[in-house]
Amino acid sequence: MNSLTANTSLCWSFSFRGARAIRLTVVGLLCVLMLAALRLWPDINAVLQSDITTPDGQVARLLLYELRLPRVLAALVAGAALGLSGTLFQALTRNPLAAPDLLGVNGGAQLGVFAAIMVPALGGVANVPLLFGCGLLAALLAMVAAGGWRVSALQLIIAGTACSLLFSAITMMLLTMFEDDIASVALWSNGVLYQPGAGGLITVIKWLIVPLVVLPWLLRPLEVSTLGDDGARMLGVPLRPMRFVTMITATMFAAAAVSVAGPMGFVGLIAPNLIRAAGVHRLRSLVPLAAIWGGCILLAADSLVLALKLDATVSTGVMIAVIGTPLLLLLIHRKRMLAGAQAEGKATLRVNVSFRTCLLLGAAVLLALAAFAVAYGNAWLGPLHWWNAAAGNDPVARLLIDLRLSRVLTAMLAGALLAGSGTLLQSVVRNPLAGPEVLGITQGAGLAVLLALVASPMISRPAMFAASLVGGATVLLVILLLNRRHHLAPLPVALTGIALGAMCAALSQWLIVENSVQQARFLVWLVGGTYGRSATDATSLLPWLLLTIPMIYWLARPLDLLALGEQSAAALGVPVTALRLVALGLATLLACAAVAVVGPVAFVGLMTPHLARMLGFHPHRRRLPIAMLLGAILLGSADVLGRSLLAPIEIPAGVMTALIGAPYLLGMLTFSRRKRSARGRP
Amino acid sequence: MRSAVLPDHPKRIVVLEFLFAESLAALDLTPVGMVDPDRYREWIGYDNPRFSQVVDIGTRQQPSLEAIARLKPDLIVGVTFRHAALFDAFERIAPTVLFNFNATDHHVNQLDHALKLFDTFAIITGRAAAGKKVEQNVQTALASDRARLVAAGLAGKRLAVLQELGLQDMYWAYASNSMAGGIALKLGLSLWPNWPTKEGTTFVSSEDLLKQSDMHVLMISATGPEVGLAQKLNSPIWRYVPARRAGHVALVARNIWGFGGPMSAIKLSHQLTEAMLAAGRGDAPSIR
Repeated sequence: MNSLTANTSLCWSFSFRGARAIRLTVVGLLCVLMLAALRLWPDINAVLQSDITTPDGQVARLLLYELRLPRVLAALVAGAALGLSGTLFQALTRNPLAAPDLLGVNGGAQLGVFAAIMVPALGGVANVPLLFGCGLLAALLAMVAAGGWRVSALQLIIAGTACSLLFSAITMMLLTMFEDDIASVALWSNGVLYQPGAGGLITVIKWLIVPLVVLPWLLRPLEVSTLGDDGARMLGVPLRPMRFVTMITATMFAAAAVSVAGPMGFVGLIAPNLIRAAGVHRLRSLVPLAAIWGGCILLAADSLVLALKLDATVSTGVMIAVIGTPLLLLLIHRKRMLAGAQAEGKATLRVNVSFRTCLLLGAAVLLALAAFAVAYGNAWLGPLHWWNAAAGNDPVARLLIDLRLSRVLTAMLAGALLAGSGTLLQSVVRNPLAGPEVLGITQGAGLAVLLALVASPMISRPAMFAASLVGGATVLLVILLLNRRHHLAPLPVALTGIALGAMCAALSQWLIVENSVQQARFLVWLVGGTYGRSATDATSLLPWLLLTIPMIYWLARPLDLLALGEQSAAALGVPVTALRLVALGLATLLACAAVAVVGPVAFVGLMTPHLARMLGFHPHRRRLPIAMLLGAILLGSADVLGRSLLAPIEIPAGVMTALIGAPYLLGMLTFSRRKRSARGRP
Repeated sequence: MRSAVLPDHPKRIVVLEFLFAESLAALDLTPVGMVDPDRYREWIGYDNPRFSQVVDIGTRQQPSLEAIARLKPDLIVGVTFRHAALFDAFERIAPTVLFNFNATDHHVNQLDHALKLFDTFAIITGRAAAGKKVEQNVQTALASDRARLVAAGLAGKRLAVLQELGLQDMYWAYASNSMAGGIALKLGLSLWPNWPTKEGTTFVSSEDLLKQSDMHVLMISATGPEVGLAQKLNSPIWRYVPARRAGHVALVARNIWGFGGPMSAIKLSHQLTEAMLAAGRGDAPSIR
């Protein structure tokens, strides 16, 4: 167990590590130079071979100075800025996982881009102040929700992931509603590095001046603050202002990078961690190195896209996700850089309700919700209509009831399955944020179904299930394989999942842009919803639900024992490994079944187990059914709200769950922390 | 995809794509429900007054099944690429026809395909004779545009039709199998890119245009007239694009619907002709 702080304090005693930093700097610069030379050589050659007075010569110079060179520089600048941003966020939160993309900064910036495209008066896509404002809001939201600066990696990641999911859901909704206005947004969100001229680059460099000037002043206080707050105070570091300025600076770096290159995920996460993995920990060396290597990574990805002649299709952002994810996974699993981060998630709000009351109450709410769903809509259908519909003398009412009921039942069943999946995952991975959407299982399943849909639009239901299962199971297998050495320790598992999920999401986005001018047709599916779902959909989910009930009873007791810790569970005769595999398999199955029907709906699986725990249900035999009930209620409500709030325009249920779930989750994080600190516990 | 039994003379038609709303208007019929009427007004705008009382049933991708059911339609018309998965749901409400919006064969351009589709649509709505007349009008309009171009000495010229996307120097170009491609063919012009793509569009950047000499570029604007052509072409790359140096670039006002029916085709043809004439004069004003 060598926690990060232990690492950094160790480094104070080894100052000869400076040599390593110098070596890394030289290697990094050489890499950059080599890549740049490779990229630019043909054009430089063309310029040297041609005469400036000829048209050919002019065009050769134009290509070099106005297209190739700006693009190389843009990649370097954006990569470096992201590397710096990541380093600062990580130093600020003392958390190796903080990065602009995990804190939702990129998601926020993307919403900014939307605003820019929808309201041309805002001045185009690459508007740094706008992106900065949106990104900063997102970062603040994640930070406040996570509980400020000194939270565990897990807390921060929960909050950041929640923010990111929320933003991406809103983005998707806007994309489906305004599909013709913003064909470009989808393009842009994959990251675009095409630079006609140096104009964009110069603008961005101007915006980078301020954070670059501030940066050197931040290094020492940040370094000191890693010793702990008390130590920093003793040394006279004004913690609060310092942190605030750091956050603004880091966000500015990220916003500038996004404005020149689009949202490139992962660079800010990978670059600093690569350097740390190579053994450099002191900020003074880490900061320039992260900039160099960040630029190098982005340039390499962009060069690969161009070398493979993919620039018309695969954008650099997608390539970064494809290259970056394995790199990130390697980092996570090569060093135990993440060990020592403790899972914690004992929600402290205790509402002691008896299980039976809760179950009955939940069932009553479900029934009431179903009845309300049937009755409520543009035309209110009272019991009299129901009677008429059943008797067959009101065909329209019958049709409406059928439409409304099929939808809400599908939503409820899928919600229950997702909640069951989330609860199982959180128990097995012993991790309060192991929902299927955080572990990338829903994204994997979603990508697989999307592939199947693109391949054959009229795909049958069993084929959808099969595709979904293959995708979800693949992600799970990769997670298991990579984490077998850590015995599925919470943080590496969560990170592996987040990385894989992000990659699948990037690939899904790319697939959509690649496959149709009319992107809404796939986007609608990608955000997940219950629109147009029929009774057949609901009945196809039912067997999965029935399957879970006996499984819950089997798994509940051993899972309870597992919660006591591995050794204790093993001592009590629980076959730990087998139990984990069975539970993970079941969780994947449930999530994939739900995804095959309603698409990759987020938040239900993540949130409901927390809710169940908050109500005071810890033993699995109780927590699972309650969580599933809550999941059914949540997705059912999302369905009713989604179809009626803006009727006749549909808000996908997946967006609704994010809109309901994210604020709730963020609020819960904040609230439970307040209660803890009120009791005087750290 | 179509229901087995369709009504002979449907009276209450619900249309789930602009193309059908426009086609109904061309056939002098009014739907009872349509998708996104505001957007139709803005983008297609053919016979707007006719649709002032038509019920809004939501978006094209997710029309409200409830709203459709409440209208008690006798025919629902949509497109397979959006609505195939919903066919069963529609069919429970009313007889349904879903058209293949894009030709399965890439060598059939969207103009020919849309006219064929319109033909079928006219037969289904019981207005075959009116449909024939509309088609004649389209051919006449295109022929007169062609004559204008010939008179201006622009016959056989190469052109590219770009759609602005709001990204700097990156555009959709309409390919040979798009509606614009079909119209260019009828107008006696030679369109670049001259190869078919999956949905009739392909991404191009200003760098691609750099390599195309002797070409007219017609750019369909994504902004209002407040942003002029000069502003759109101010990157260092554009300055060297041969089309721009020759003054052969023209702006086409936004909201041109390249995915429409016969009336959109006439409008597009007129706009392209006007733009070609403007670009041909080499002074490239913005066209209102």
